[in-house]
Amino acid sequence: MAEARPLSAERIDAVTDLPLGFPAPRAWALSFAFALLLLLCFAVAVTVLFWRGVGVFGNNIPVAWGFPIVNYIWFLGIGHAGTLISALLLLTGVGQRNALNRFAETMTLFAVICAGLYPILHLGRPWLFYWTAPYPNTMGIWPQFKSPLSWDFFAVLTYLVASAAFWYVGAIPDFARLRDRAKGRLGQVCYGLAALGWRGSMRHWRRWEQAYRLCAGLAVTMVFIITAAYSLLLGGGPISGWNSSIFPPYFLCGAVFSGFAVVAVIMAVLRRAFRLDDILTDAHSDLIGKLLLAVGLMTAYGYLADIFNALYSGEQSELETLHDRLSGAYAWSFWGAVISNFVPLQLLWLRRVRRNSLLLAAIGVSVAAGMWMERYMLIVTGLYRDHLVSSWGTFQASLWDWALFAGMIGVFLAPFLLFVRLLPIVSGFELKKASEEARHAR
Amino acid sequence: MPADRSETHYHAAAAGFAGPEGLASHLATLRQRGYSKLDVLGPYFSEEIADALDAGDHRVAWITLAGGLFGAFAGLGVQLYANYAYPLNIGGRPVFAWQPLPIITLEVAVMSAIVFAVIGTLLSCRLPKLHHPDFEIPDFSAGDRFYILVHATDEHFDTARTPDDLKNLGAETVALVPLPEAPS
Repeated sequence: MAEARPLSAERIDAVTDLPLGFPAPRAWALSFAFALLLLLCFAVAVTVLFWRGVGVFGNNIPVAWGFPIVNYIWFLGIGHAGTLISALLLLTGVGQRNALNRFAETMTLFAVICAGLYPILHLGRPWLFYWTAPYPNTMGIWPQFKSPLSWDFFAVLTYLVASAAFWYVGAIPDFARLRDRAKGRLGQVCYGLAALGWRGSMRHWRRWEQAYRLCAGLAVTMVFIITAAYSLLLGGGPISGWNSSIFPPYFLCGAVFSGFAVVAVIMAVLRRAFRLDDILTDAHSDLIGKLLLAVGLMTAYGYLADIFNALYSGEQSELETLHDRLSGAYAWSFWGAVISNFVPLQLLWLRRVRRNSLLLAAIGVSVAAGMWMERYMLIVTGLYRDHLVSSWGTFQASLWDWALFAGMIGVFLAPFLLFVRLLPIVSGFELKKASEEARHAR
Repeated sequence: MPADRSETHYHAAAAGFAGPEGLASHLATLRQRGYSKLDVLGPYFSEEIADALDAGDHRVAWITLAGGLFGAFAGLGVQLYANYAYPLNIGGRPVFAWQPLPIITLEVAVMSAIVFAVIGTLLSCRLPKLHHPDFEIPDFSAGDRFYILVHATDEHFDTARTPDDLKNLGAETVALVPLPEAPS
């Protein structure tokens, strides 16, 4: 590939030293101030929620799962893509990985934190959330392991621990390098502690390499297990519109689809902000564009299969739910999802569009919004018309639903910006290795 | 250790190189000269150099497997135990319902395997460590350069001869690395 031109050692040093001499303090400070504002919004929304209870949300019977679950699934989905892109590209040996994996994994880490907060916040008594964990207690009570609440606890915990471990192991050599290059005492001490005394012995490297690859393989498996678990949680229920065996693959594709979209957006922003045109190249845009298109088409197949299942089942209530989705009170969410997920996506058939990172990012924004509408459609249209007319109702998101959602974006953005400031946004040592190998191959 | 006193004050002799080229054959040369306690530090993994250093090391894979099995048994065990110790009759479902058991079992297995892999790697490398004599190499920067180390505990280590041997390999820098003063 034309882009496989080896980077000069000075250029790699300049990129991996970004945290030591930060080049865009003004733009960063403005973004960070904005993120803090959202974080403040989060604090206010959570305070109101704790003070007045979950009644401040719009969810009620019959739509008992409103924004908290819509956003939980949405954030978790975004997280999946970071793991999958990083681990799969590592295992398949795609050279472009080294520029993408660090920020994709970081995106995963913070998206999972946001996802994990939602179910906790939407418990009636969130301070007792640890009751979902199995621990010996004086009450002699154990969690109900047949309940999806308990699956959620383990799903989020596993995801959080595994993605944090994978991310951290991958970052240790970069911490060590920053420790050795930092000029200030504070940097030396902090990076030094984070590096855990890593000194790059080849014997250690061999074990590191094994551990990293094993973690990658396990992380891919984990993505499949976890999406399967939380889609089973919907698919196993006797709710028309959810009770379908297409759900696990359908959810996996949708999750990865929304995540790749966010990766495309972050990639375009980082590339612009730090002038990384030689590192996050057009070839990377092309790769993400192709992946986005492929997963998007698989998701579209899921939509069709879901509709086909309803039609083929001949079940009265399934057909009614389908009808509600296409033309009911929440038809906007169905058509919104179809249009913003799949219409701009078709542009990615063109190589020119895929290689334009800004156009790709615009399509990414459209897909992220479309996938949010899909999650909304799935949850709300499944619930608002129950089997009995007496239990029909509507769902309207409240002000605090929106405030918490906005705040949660702050919970994602603020630590992500700190990462951009404090760590190399690309994996420095992998970049070095790849460019060394490319130089030899010539 | 019956080593000469002047040698015990050193940790190793270190030779710095800009890149990984030829390091594997340098290691072979040093072995021919009788050295056995060798190490290489570098900014990224090189299969070739690691192979030249010693035979394969698969302990991390075994530790990870052990972690996965431990997690699977722990995840399954806690569910089975809780269902027996605190049986809940919900809609007449059996106490042992096999369908939901794999979910938590697999999730805990994956989590435990990854945690074991990470902790196993660190412990087998004797990390974390606040300090190590390797850091005393002058201008140490393992993120930028490769170093061949001949440890002072090697029976052929000699404060005069070993640096010469390393210089003959074409090293950019050669230095004797002192042992840090032991805290009294």
